[in-house]
Amino acid sequence: MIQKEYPRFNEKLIETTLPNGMRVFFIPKPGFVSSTVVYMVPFGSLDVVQKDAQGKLIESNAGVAHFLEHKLFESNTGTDIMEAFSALSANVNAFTSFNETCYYFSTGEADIDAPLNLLLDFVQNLSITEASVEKEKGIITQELRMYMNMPEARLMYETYRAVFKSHPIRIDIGGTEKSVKAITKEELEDIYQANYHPSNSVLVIVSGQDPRHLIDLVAKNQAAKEFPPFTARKRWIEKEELKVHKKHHTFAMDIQAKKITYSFKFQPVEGTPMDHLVQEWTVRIFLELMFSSYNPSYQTWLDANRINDYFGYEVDVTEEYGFAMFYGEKESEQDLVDLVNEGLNTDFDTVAPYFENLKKRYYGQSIRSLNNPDDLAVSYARSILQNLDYFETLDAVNRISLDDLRSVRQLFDREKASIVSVTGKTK
Amino acid sequence: METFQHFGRFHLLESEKFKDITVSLRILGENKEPYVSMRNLLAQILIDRGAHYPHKRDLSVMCDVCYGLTIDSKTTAYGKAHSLEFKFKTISDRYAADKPFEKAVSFVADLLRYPLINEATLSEAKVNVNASLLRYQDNPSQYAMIQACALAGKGSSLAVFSQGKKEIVDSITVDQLEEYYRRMLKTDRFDLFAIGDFKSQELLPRLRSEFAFLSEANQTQSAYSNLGLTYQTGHSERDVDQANLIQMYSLNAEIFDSEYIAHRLACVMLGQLPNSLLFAEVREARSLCYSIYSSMIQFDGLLTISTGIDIEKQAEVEALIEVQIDRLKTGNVDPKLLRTAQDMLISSLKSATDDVSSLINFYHQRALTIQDETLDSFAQRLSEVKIEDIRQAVSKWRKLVAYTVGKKVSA
Repeated sequence: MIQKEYPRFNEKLIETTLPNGMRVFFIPKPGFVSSTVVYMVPFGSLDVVQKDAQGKLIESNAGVAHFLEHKLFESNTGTDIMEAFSALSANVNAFTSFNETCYYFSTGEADIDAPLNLLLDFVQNLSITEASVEKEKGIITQELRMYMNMPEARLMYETYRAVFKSHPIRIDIGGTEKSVKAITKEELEDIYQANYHPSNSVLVIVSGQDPRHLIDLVAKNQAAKEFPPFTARKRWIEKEELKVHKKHHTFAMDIQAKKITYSFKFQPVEGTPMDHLVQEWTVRIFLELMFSSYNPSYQTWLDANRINDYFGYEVDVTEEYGFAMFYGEKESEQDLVDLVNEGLNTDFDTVAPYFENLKKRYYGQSIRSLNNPDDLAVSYARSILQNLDYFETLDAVNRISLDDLRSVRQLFDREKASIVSVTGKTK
Repeated sequence: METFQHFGRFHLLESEKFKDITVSLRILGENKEPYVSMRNLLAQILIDRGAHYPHKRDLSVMCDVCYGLTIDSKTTAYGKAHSLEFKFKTISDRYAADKPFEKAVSFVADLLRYPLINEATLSEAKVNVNASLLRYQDNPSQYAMIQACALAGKGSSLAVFSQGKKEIVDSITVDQLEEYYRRMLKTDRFDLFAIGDFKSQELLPRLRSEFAFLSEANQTQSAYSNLGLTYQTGHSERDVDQANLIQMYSLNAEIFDSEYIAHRLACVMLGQLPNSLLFAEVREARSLCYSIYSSMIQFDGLLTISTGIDIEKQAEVEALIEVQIDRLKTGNVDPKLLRTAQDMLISSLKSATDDVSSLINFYHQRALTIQDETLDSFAQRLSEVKIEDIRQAVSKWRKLVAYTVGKKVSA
């Protein structure tokens, strides 16, 4: 068992790796009544094609990670998992993202032994029938439709589809109605066996309770179980060119406010996950300086109704791609394009002095991110799966120099940009 | 469980476990137009610029000097009252030598005391409020809720959309808004909550001095119940794959009533747990939806049920909902469900002590209803509710509205 201290943040961490390979992390929160426990598996919607130890490619139906997340809540004992958690006064939930599937519970009760055992037991036991798999398809179809009815969610989905040609990020996390219909019991069982081994999982506990007792409890729970030998499959993604798939795409919904995205694809820096994170922060800070009130033009954009308070941007840098997206509510696509180009071409020296202000802002935000046990548990588990130390990532901003920021502009190549808009339907 | 210390309208909770300090100022006015639209405009203007901070950049600089001080504003309906909330938070002085919180208090008080209400700030606020209103309309589930409230609450404050109305927003002048703001500070009730790593004996006089422009004597009425009892249905046609259904029930009880707690638990049993009746019967047993839940509009004495379904299945879903409510009315439910609802609510009350927003919401509601109730005494009352109390409470429910947004309903 290793204990680390982070005096800058007044935080501690206890970590251990169990004999079956499961990594367990405990973040003590003295004075907190509630506890949150996260069980995370590095299998998300982007893992639609995996390579096994023999080099064979295994392709799944899109949305299989999300489908599996739904089905794990089914128990072979006839007990309803969610009901069992409720009976223990614990809130259980799960989510699937691009990179991981996460199961978690939180409770305000002091005794978390029973829900902790229950979490470990239900995630480590898939028990499904063909009938239950078929039944779930109706529920998931309604979930997909719910998101497709939301203009912002649909615009994001269509933007990924325009920017990326083959990368699985262009497929909705839940899959499509067609791919969901095609998922079978056998496929779910195969995916489960290939990805849900304890050595391929992370458990994070954030609690005011006794760390040693809870870590011992996890160890005992795991020691009582046997797992087959395991070789992890690896995500396989075909490298795609930097060119965007579609430079322009428009679609219609039954809405009144037209929305537009203007997105750039760029080459990520080569290096470690921390290097990618630092590059993401570098782009983010550059954009914050150029597209906030620190830019002298910002107020004139508002006064001329070129933007409203909806205007914003997103940045994502991974090993496979760099992506930056601007979004706004505009009638004219060209207006948004012109505005973004104007912002990007702002004289950097006019905003550079405010970099120090942003460093203070992000230091404050880092400190405050440690207040919420739920968010902290999920963020910590994610960082572990990315081979990052969460507390070290909080200082990523301090690795950035003004010269780094100056070099960001060159990433924004109009030839590698895509514009997507959602308009109202003509009645 | 942790409890605020009340000093008139100032409510303070010292806690070292939070690394920041949150201050929430809630000003409660009448929930009617044109005031609601004006309050939404003020929510934008007051945190955008100030007389002593005439440019957005001035605000950004101050916020960053205070280590990422965030200032948010929000408007919410509380029955007959409408809350305009200003919330600011920054790291406690323990984590920065240059005392960010001390600066933040003076800065935010100055913004509220010396606002910059002129043609430019009003015009920008109108653009943003109207754009936000359009977004509510474009979201089918939010639109269905707005329309259901309008139908159920015709002639009452329930029908007033808490985020404003475009025609009224467009008509407001600078003079009207300035006059209203001055009046609001003199007449409307306020409550100020502070939670975090501070010493009350030092902070209280400081807050009293900085926010002395607010009056501690004012009262604003909030709760009411017994809306009209005529059942109505409504439908808005929209070209979407999934229809949104909202059902509303009058509880025929006020939040001040001692029996209200039974309604609260009945709502949890009906649709707030993974094993709630609606979730179990409509989603899990029949796969008719992904999401179905019940909630309460507490200060209006209402229960709502929300779901997304195939429009062809509306009748089947509505019938199933009725069956579940009948089960509560007749007491035909597993007693374990009540026990679970009680345990879950009590557990969430305990967890609320770790969550600043939940703590403020709980004690603000208490301040507007039963002043001296704590999380502990509320938990005690929750644990004493019996199935018979649930049965009696639900027997009073009257269905007011069923509203759908979706494709045209075939005859």
